[in-house]
Amino acid sequence: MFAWMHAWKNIYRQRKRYRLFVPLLLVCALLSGCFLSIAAPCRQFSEQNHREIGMELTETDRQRELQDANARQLGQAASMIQTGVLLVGAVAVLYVSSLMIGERFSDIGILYSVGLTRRQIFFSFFTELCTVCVLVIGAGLTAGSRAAVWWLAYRIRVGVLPTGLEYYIGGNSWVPGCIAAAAGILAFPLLRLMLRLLRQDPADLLRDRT
Amino acid sequence: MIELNNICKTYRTRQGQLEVLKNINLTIPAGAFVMLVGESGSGKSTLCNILGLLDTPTAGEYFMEDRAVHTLSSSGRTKLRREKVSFVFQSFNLIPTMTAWDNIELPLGYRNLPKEERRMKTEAALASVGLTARAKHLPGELSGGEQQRVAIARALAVDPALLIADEPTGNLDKKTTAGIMELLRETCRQKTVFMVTHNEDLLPYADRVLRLRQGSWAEL
Repeated sequence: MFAWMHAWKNIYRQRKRYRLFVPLLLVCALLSGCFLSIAAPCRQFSEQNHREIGMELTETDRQRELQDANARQLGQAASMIQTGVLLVGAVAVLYVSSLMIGERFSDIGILYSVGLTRRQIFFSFFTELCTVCVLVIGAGLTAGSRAAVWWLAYRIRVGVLPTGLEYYIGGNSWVPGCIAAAAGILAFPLLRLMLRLLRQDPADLLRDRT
Repeated sequence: MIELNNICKTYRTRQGQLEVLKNINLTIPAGAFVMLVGESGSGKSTLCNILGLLDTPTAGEYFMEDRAVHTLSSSGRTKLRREKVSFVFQSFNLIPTMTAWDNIELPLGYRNLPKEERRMKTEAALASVGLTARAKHLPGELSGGEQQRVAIARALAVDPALLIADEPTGNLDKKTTAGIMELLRETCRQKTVFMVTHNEDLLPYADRVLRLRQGSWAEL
């Protein structure tokens, strides 16, 4: 229980060390949520709605064809942007998180010296990082997808996108991908921390500090 | 009681093997205040780390209260360290983002003590170093002497059998040094204290003085 409380308190105490990590992760999650929520329904709509259009196009047919093309192009563009966001974001978040963890190696030496075990130290960092990542990624994805849903609904209302697209909005087929990405973001700094903990003598960690 | 028999410590460097401690034999009775002096690089901190179970000797035997430390696994040493040993460092080693109270409470919390007992022990430790009024201050808001007092309070809060102080007055002025030494003597009457220092003016505070030179005992 104390370990949980300590980890929770640490998030507040260590807020200066999260000053780069949290905004960056939030922006990545926000953009990911937004573009995934746009790309997924547009792609699904394009794949499942191949309309047969006669030789002589009516005005309504032309408008529908234009709307379908818009949905298809929007889906492709959002997918591409999403891939870019994930790649750039993942590199940036990994870099910043490794810096952030690196800043705290000296704390590990102190925690050793006051009698914490390797498991307790790892658990303390793990709880703290998991909590921050889950909260930030959750908030970012939710806000991003809400914004995307609102924007898609608006584009349908003004006639730029087909009304049939409404049935596909709000699907969550991208959630596993997001969880995988978030797990990757989490795994790297934790793996680095674990390796460092397992490799180094506590005396070395304290020596680094002094 | 602490007993070291033929303790050796060797580090591997690019230039080859570096023998830091050579056949160190030492017996420290319970409750003694032992001071270790020596030049930089003589192996003082390494001996401290070995005594404090932060480091392992390359060879030799180490007994703490009749327990053969040299035969313990890493987790066994951690457990014993947690039960018996506390540290005070030259650079205080307080966690900068935690208040004085939280720094002292931290090791108590990880020993699974109930909240009320933690509160009482933390309060008592802060009172023993005269810093009750500074409980909610961060280390950065305290003077060097006050930070060292917090470090001593943290070390004593867990009621260790052995207190290891690695140059605890190294960063302090003369007046503060005297205060810290008085505090250490006063608060550690029933404990074994092993202190490393460069300052030969502090030797009168010790029951026994040891000198290391190039990894071996030297004449005082």
